[in-house]
Amino acid sequence: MRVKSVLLLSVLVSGAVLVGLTFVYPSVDDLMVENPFWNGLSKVYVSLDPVRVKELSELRTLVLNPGNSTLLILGPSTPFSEEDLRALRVFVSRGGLLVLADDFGSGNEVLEGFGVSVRFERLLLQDRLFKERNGLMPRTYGERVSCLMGVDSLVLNYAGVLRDVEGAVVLAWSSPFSYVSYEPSVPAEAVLSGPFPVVVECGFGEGEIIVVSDSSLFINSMLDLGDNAVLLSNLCRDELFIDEGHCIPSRLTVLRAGLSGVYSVLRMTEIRYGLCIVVVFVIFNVKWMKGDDEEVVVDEVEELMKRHPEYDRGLLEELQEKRRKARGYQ
Amino acid sequence: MILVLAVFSYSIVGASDLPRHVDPSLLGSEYPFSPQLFELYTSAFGSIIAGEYVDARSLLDTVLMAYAPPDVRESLEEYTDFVVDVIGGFESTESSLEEAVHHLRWLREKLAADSIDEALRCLWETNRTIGILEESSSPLALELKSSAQTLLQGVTELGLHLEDVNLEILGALEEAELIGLLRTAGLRESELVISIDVEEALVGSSASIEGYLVDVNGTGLQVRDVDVFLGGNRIDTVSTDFSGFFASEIDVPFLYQESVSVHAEYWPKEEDVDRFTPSSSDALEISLIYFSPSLKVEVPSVGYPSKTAKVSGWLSFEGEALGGIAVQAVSFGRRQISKSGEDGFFEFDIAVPSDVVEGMADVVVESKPSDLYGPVRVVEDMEITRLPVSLVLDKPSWTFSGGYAEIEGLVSFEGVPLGDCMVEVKGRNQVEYVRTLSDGKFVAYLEYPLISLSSRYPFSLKVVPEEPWLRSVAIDGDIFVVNVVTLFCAPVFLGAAVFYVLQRNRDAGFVASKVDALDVSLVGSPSDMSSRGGFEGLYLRALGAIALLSEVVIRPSNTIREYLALISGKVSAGIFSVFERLSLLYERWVYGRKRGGPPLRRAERMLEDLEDNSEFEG
Repeated sequence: MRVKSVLLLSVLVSGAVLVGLTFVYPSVDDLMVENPFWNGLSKVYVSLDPVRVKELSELRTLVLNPGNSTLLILGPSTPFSEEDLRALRVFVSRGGLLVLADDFGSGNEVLEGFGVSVRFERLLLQDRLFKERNGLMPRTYGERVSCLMGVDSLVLNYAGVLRDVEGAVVLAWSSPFSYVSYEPSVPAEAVLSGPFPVVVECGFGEGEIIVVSDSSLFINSMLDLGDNAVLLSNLCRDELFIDEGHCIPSRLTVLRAGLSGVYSVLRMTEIRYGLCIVVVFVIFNVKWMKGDDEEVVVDEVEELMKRHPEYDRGLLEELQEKRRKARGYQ
Repeated sequence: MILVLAVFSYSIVGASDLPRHVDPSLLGSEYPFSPQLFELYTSAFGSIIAGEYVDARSLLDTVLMAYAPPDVRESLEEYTDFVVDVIGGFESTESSLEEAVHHLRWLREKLAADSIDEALRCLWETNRTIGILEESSSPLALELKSSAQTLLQGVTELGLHLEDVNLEILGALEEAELIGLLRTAGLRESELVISIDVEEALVGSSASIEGYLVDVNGTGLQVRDVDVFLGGNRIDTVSTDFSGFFASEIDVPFLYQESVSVHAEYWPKEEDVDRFTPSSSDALEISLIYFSPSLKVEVPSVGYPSKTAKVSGWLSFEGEALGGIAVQAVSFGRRQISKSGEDGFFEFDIAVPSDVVEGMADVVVESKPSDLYGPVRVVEDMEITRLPVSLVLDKPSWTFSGGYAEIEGLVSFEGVPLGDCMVEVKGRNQVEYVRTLSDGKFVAYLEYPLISLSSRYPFSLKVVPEEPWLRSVAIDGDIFVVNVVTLFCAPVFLGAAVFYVLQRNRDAGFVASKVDALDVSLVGSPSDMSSRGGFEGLYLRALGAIALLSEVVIRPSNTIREYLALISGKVSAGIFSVFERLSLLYERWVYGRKRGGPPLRRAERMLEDLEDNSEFEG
């Protein structure tokens, strides 16, 4: 009885603490606006307050004036449906600016959907000379165009490169000393040597697509390096949207979403008050059951002998045994 | 508990990251890759040798852009500074050499010699810097944990280039000496002096230039051609008279700038080549006079997308209208050209694009130069804005689940109803699109299925007007949905459950103490009788009645059946029969298997029979 109670209490307390932690502990999801850690986008969210878009089809209703809107798709991981691509095409063709920053994700599906030739090359860009401390964080240099006003250099992080950029305007290049390989390596093991295009601009309808070969440009730990923040500011129009529908959520986020769902159900009037009644009822019931449990501990013959020392103990024990058998106990 | 927490927490926050970036704080600082760095220096050396000093400096700037940890950075900057000094040395040398060549061109051998001396001094300094560079190469390479071979090879090539420059200087020196020899043979220096009749002139007017071409003794050189240059362009060639005098009339160009320079040159021809040196006059400046008209522009302070903004203006000079002058307006990336009328007025209709961003926009108006009137430019601001529409909403505060909420609204602008606006109403799982009618009204329905539990359900409503110059409006709200079924059923079910449990617990309470249950046949004190309830109380009451009738009190040691045997024959058969049935019922209930509650009603009836019989007999 005591062991069971302790275990039950432990699980209940653990569950309560876990639920509390789930709500209190910040998101650790890659490229999520709620994530305040190095790989999150909380700085972007705090400074620019973008509208979070779960389904790209929502753009149809969310965007009032595409000509004055920017959509950020940063590091998409999950596939894009035909409906998503249609929504993107409509957005851009009506004057919207799409900023697609990706390296090893599903960004090529978007580019295919737009029918542009540019593609993300899934090779790792490194530069042992022009870098931010480490070759995995190469510095790139922009052309003198309006959207790169005030941008001298960008710092990338574990970036890819772009290929087939004919027909697009290259806005930024990696240095001639950069190189690409399948994994971190020395220049001698390079698959190809630079310079490589890393930011390009493609026209589509009345709008534009800015393709960036690194999904990490605007994460919290990178935003303040180089002129990354200036680039972001230049790209943002009055209305800013950010796609969150193509990220893979962590278990914490899934759990949090589940708990939010439970919370929303618990907010229902019937559930809320019903639950209160049940809780009160259970509390009382448990108390009664607790009284019931206590009798098991008491030895009824001993108790009776205390009250009536003159009784025949043997008879009482025989009677107790008969009762036990009559009730089906062994 | 801690273990459970640890396991759960780890599995949640330890979600694996995609290999898309690395935490910058975990990446260590790397030295620059020396082969690439030295390649940059080598390129810079190559540019120096090719005389492309701008490129060389640019390459060195690039070197400094390369990342290097602080301990290497200092050495790198010092080495780069030495290379920059070498560039400076070569530049100064070449500059002096060019100056010398220029003097040699005008056969000024003494001035040329001075410049050659200066070039030699600079070259010597450069040679010294190259020596330092050579000495610094190995320590730098050592710091970068690399070989200095590439750097030293580049420095050696610089040394070879220096020798080439030295040879050029020596060549110039020989040329200067040759001119000295020519001068000894009779070469005389010529001199050219000019003057202009005006210091400032109206554009389009004319000016007179005159001057003298004389030799070093002041003797005029007659019938020689002198070229006259205006702003770097040759505009006239005149011949000197017997005293070396020449004159030229020039037209002041329609240049709308502060001034223009004039100078003259003399180049000996034919036999004069061996007799006179070429000469150039000083450059004289003529200040240009032109009129700057006054341009008054009226731009609407506010513009609306898709509407036309009328921009007007008046071009004048000192109050007099200037007609027939081209005027252009540039706004929103478009250019329009017009002409001022006779009265100096002009007008533009500027179309504001429908997708323009709200905020300040520049409207640039400028008049083109014409004759004496120069250009003038005015930039005015126009605020681009969209006007807010009015939305009056009528919606219920609550509705039943299984029904719908009717949301009505009226969209208007300054009291005028707006038709054909798109209205989007978003419910929990529903999006409804409607358009406003010509009277500006719309009706949308939000449906709430029967399964919707009672709660506040939020909705949002957005109105997007058809006209681009009107701003969209959005409103959020909520509707309380009442689910009658669940609201009434839930308490009923809960009540039933509570009743059931309470009943169960009452029964449980009745047999709560098995000690008492075991004890009941043995206890028969009057105080116990009054204090007990339920079946037990009933039976005690019966025991009391039987004790009175039979005068036999049950003893604690008696079982029920023993007591029955004791009273048998001491009460009437009817009473005994009823009491026996009641006793056996009680015995069965106390010691038998529990199925539901006690048979209270039956027991009560038996007790009533017993008490009736007792009273009758009593």
